[in-house]
Amino acid sequence: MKTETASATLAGTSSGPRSTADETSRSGALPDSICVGAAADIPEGGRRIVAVGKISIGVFNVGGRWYALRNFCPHWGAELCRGRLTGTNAPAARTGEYNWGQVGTILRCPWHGWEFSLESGRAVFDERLKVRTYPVTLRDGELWIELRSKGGAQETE
Amino acid sequence: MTTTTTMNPSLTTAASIPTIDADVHVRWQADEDILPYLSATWHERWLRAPGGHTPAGLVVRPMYYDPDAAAYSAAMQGPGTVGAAAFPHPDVLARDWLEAHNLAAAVISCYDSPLIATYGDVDYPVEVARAVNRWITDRFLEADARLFGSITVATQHVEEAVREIHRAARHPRMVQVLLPAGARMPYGHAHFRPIFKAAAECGLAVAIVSGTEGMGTSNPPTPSGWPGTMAEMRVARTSVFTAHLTSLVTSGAFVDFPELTVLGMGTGVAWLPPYLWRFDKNWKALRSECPWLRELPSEVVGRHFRFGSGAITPVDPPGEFWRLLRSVSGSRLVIHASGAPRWDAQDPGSSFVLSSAPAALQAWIRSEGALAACPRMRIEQNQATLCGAGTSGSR
Repeated sequence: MKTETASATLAGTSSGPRSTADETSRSGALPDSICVGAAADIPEGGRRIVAVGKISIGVFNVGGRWYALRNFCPHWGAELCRGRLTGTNAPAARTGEYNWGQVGTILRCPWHGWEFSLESGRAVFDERLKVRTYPVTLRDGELWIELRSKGGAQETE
Repeated sequence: MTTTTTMNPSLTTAASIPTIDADVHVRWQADEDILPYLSATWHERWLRAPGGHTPAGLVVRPMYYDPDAAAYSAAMQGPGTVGAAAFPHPDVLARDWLEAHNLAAAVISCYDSPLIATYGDVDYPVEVARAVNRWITDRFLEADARLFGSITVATQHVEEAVREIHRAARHPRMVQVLLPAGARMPYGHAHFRPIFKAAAECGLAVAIVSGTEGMGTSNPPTPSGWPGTMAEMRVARTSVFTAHLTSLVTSGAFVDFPELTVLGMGTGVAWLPPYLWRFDKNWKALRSECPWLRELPSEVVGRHFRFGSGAITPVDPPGEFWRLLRSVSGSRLVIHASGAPRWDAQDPGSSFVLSSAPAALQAWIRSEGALAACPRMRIEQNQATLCGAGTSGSR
């Protein structure tokens, strides 16, 4: 799977993502939202990892839906968003019961294989464990990560 | 004769708790004792088979050096005092063990019987299992109400094993099914599931007993191959039980049978907590392969497995042992089970586990744990009364 990475940091780089408020260098705080580029540049099944200040965020295109998560596994700090997109067998009530689902929206950490939902950011084995997710909005063909508001994937147009 | 601890006010609080020994071995005195329970077809084979440890048509020859192999067979033909491999008579068991150590009850099993599940044959072990169960019922359970029995099965023929469990369980003091640790496959495999189902349906525990690893048709006692000495064997074979435990948990045996308890006898337990640390860790990543396993494996093990105290190695200082157990799912993993009359059997007075366990755990280890593991033993809840009655009635 091809992973694009926007290597530049937010502040002061022409090739880096644009932000709604150019205040990160002054306050150290994150901007309200950040543009990660043209939606058309990330094909279905693709992803882009962007650096935002000191953090890293992965943006995914799964079947035309957009998802953004912190690129940091709460287990040991691996770059979670470089993991494999897959499905999972939902917790089953009976032995021999395999309910394969969440196809394409389960992100497996590349280090230890923990499964996270792209939708909620929650670990499948324990919902109390959560990776920060961000809403993604589409404005004039550009993808924006909403850094201030909590919440999962969002389809906009 | 006073055998009930509750009648003796001079005993300490811990010792006044009725104590059950969950692992006591018995055996026939002479091979002929079994003949009345075996159809004539099999008499010759039974009597001509190699004697002592392996009364089977199949010679089970461990490939490691066992300095006591000859002593076992000699001891078992003898009068059967403590130090032999098995008690040959209920009166001897009562005198030398129950009454000598103020035990309220004992779960007995035939010392040789787990071996029959390692025979290459099918029909013969099916017949032998039935004979042994009928014999142990007549000879021991009917003789002393303080004794609870274990059902031997020939896992080679699952349908017959299921039938035999239902038949033998008609005796109310049969409380568990006995499986040898030495097996051809891990016990979570679908092949064995009907046996666990039958046990659960009858309210029986399943006891997996160490000692047969590498014998007969079972796999070598270590997954790396054969140990060369008993010294090597006794330490390394732990991995055999470990594989059964892991298989039962991942295959969802306790999802299928939520009331079932599996007992590890002679397996030790100090190895378990670090193993569960790893099991838990891996489950977090691999749970999708066994989606019915919806909680940490250590929680399943803490609820469904119990370990006999007999093979638990003394740890110095003992507090470290209990601290280790507390690191996973509490300390209710251990129940008193001596493995008597083997030379290394620990009576309640000399038991490392009982002498070092916190006061709050004494009742669990001495009797509550076994009663919870074997629901049928609840029928005999009032052990203090039964104990006195059994003593006078069985002589």
